Amino acid sequence: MKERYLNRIELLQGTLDMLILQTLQWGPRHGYGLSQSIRTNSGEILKVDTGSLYPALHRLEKQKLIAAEWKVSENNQRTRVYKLTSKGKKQLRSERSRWSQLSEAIAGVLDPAKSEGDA
Amino acid sequence: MRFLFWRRKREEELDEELQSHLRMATQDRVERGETSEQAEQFSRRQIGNVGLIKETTRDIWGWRWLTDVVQDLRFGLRMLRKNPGLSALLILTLAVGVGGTTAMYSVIEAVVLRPLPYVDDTRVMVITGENLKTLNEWGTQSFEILADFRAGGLDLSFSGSAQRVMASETSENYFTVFGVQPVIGRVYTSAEVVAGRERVAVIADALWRTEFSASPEAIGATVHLNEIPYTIIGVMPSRFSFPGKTAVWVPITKGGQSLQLSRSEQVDFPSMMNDRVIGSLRPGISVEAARVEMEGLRQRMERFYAGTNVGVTSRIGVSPVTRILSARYRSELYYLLAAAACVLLIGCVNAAGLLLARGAVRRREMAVRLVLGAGRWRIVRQLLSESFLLAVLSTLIGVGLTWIVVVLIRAYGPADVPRLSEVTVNTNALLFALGIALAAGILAALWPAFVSSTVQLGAAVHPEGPRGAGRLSQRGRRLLTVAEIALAVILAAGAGIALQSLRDTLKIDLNFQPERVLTMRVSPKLPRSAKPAEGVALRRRILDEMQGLPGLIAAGEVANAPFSQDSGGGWFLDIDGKLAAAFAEIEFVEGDYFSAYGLPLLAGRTLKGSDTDGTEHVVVINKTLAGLFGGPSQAIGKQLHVEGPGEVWQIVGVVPDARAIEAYTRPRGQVYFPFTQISPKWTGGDLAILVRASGDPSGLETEIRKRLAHVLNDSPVFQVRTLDAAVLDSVATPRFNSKTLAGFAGVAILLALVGIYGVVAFSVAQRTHEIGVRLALGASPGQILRLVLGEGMKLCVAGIVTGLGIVLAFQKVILSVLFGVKVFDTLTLVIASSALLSATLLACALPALRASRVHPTVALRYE
Repeated sequence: MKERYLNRIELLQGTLDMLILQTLQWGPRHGYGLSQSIRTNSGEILKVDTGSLYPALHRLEKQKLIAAEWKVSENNQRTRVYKLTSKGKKQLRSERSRWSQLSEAIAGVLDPAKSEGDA
Repeated sequence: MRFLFWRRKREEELDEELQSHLRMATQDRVERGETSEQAEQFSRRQIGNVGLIKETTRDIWGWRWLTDVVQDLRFGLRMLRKNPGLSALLILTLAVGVGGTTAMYSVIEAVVLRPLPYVDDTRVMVITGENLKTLNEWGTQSFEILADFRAGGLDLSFSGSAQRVMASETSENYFTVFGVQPVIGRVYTSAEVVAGRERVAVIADALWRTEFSASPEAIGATVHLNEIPYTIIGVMPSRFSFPGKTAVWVPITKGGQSLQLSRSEQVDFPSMMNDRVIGSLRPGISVEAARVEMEGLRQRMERFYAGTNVGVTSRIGVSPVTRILSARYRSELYYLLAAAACVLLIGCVNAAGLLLARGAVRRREMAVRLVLGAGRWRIVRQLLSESFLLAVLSTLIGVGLTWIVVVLIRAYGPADVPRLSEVTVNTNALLFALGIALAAGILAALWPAFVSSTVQLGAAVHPEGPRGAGRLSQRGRRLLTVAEIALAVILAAGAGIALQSLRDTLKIDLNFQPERVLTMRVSPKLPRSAKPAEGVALRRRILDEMQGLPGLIAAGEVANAPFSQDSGGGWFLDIDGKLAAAFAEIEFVEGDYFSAYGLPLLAGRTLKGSDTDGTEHVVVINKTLAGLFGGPSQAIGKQLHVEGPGEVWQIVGVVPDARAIEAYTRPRGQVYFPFTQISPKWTGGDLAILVRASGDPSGLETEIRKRLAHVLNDSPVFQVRTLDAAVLDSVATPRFNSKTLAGFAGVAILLALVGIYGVVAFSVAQRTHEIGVRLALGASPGQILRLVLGEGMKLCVAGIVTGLGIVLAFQKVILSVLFGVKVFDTLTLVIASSALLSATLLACALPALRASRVHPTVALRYE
């Protein structure tokens, strides 16, 4: 019942959170690095808006899904580096399964014949 | 504070994080071959509005409202600092009110309201009346348990020297009334009570700790009470100590010899109740119901004993224990609280007035803010946070003041008020006073906000605008000032009357000379089997020891120490064959008692050493009693038959009424018996020594103690004080009350003056322009001076008239509550009013002088 009311913003927000968590699973990154990784890995399709990225990072930090730390980067700059917490890993797992359910469901709706054939 | 610091750090970090993002983005672009300028421009455009990002991120931190509040408070602090004098006045004025009220309430809470820790005040009742010993035998439906007790002082020793302690003889169910169990050991049984031979005792926690270091070995140990050995069987918990500071409880003896407790000790109980009954109500029975039943019982007793010579109490009272304890002090404490509340009220009025004055000055600021688009709620909120700051700051200082006052009261308060030592700063009262201070601040903050919101914005912002306006707040301020002066007048009148009554009391002719007399109490121990002659010999020996003291004028002995809690009690006298014709207080004396006390003979002779058991029984009476015979000289040679020892006594001398100033009582008849002619059965074991000297008698104490040591065999010499001190001690409570009230009145007047000063000074500041015009048009500085002074005086006179009006209107009420004053002293009122008026003149002089010295050109340009 609840899924029916998923609105666009919520979906996007959740998606960004998930993307951040997923990207961080490959290792700690700073904000800029995150946005670059997401862009490259999505084949330059997903461009993360800085105005959404940092509020999202701080929100995830507040929820203790990620942890932040100041580090000195390769070219001697102080940057804030985020890494996944164990709580964040758990969250990522559940979000991924939710996401695959959701995308399967959407795929089913978009392509009914194929999904019937599968069943 | 830590939050602010932490937050600032977060803020800086966010900034750095975004900067590093920007740097890295630019670097990437440069690496891809763009010029650094291009790259930076592009990155900046891509990152978007940094301010907005920060704002959104901050929202995620979720402290937006808090930062707003912090901002408001910071602004409030800045406003307070901008006008330090005014702010200090505001804060102090509120702090004094908060402190005074909280301290007084704390006292009341401890003395009157706080239930005893071991007592269910809804169930444990004291039954008052005379001769209630048989009450239990009559049966009662209202009470589950009725227990007898009798309290007083005795000498207690374990080994070596004795100490004076409070003791109680109680029935075995006494502890059950309170529902207390001993910490260790047991309480006595009914068998032990009835027999009266089992010498067992239950001791208090304090005694257990000091004498036995709280060791269980106390059980079974022997303690000597008035030199009789008792076995300790139990220890009461520390929270239980009733009545007063009882150190030891022993079984009451029914009909047998009692412990001879001295009634001169303070027992936290109204006197005139030698034997008391305490009981716990049955569940569901109201105090009212119990009273009705007791009255019925009393009437039954009356009918039963009609025609016999058994006395039946004329009234019977049922009151909760705590209420009985504080009965004497309750009303006076509440008046003091009312006085403190008046001070708080004045403080609030003051604060409101000063805030209003400032609000008027800031109307333009408010108008500008409104024009610039500030929400009204935002402005009100800001004003509120300023008031809040004021209230909190003054409450903090008020707490400090309360604490000081409480410490002072504990140290210097009258000793006879029960539980005064338990006074602590009361949190509820503090919160209440804080609430009042807050309410005053909020009202004062809302008024200018309200006024500014009704203002025509255009007119208010206009440079000429605010000057003429603000009549509403000005009238408000004046009303407030008049109100606070009126309040101060009422307080001053009250304090004046109280002080006057105290002065009158101290002026009462005591009829004796209390100067240079040392009094002390001793408890000479004689075996119960001792013959009267042995007591006579011991008292003689004590007097003999006094001979040769440096500067000795006279030394005497008396059974009851002067101005001790209870008098010696009274007996009915049969005169001229008429039964019980008079009731007189009795006293037993020996040696040069009358000279030592300073009572001159009016007629006849004093009691002499030659009045002994073998000679005719003689007494000296006082003037009041002699009045029954037609006067001092007529009384000589007449005979009295007294209720106690019976026998006929010949009146040989008359002395003036030695008045106790304490209770403003009318002098009562008094009979002085010679110790030598009366059985120890009637005199009890108490003895006080009076020594009159030619110099300061206090220096004699060590010498007297030394001389008494071997006569008294180490039994204690205690309550050593001069007769002067005893007289003063007896009025300690009214003295303390009057002084406190006077203190409050003084503070009230001071605050009222601050209020007048504030109002006049602000009005002068506001009217600088007008004053300049007047000066420019030819007004002399003298005229300006008069103008400003006139304004202040008008307010003051209005306040005084209002205050006096209220005082006179409630004259009857005020007189009845104020320490029994009967005559309204107009002089006090006149002095108080004129003092207030001249002080106002001083308070107004400063701003008035300032106004008269204004230079017209400066004033006209004044903005």
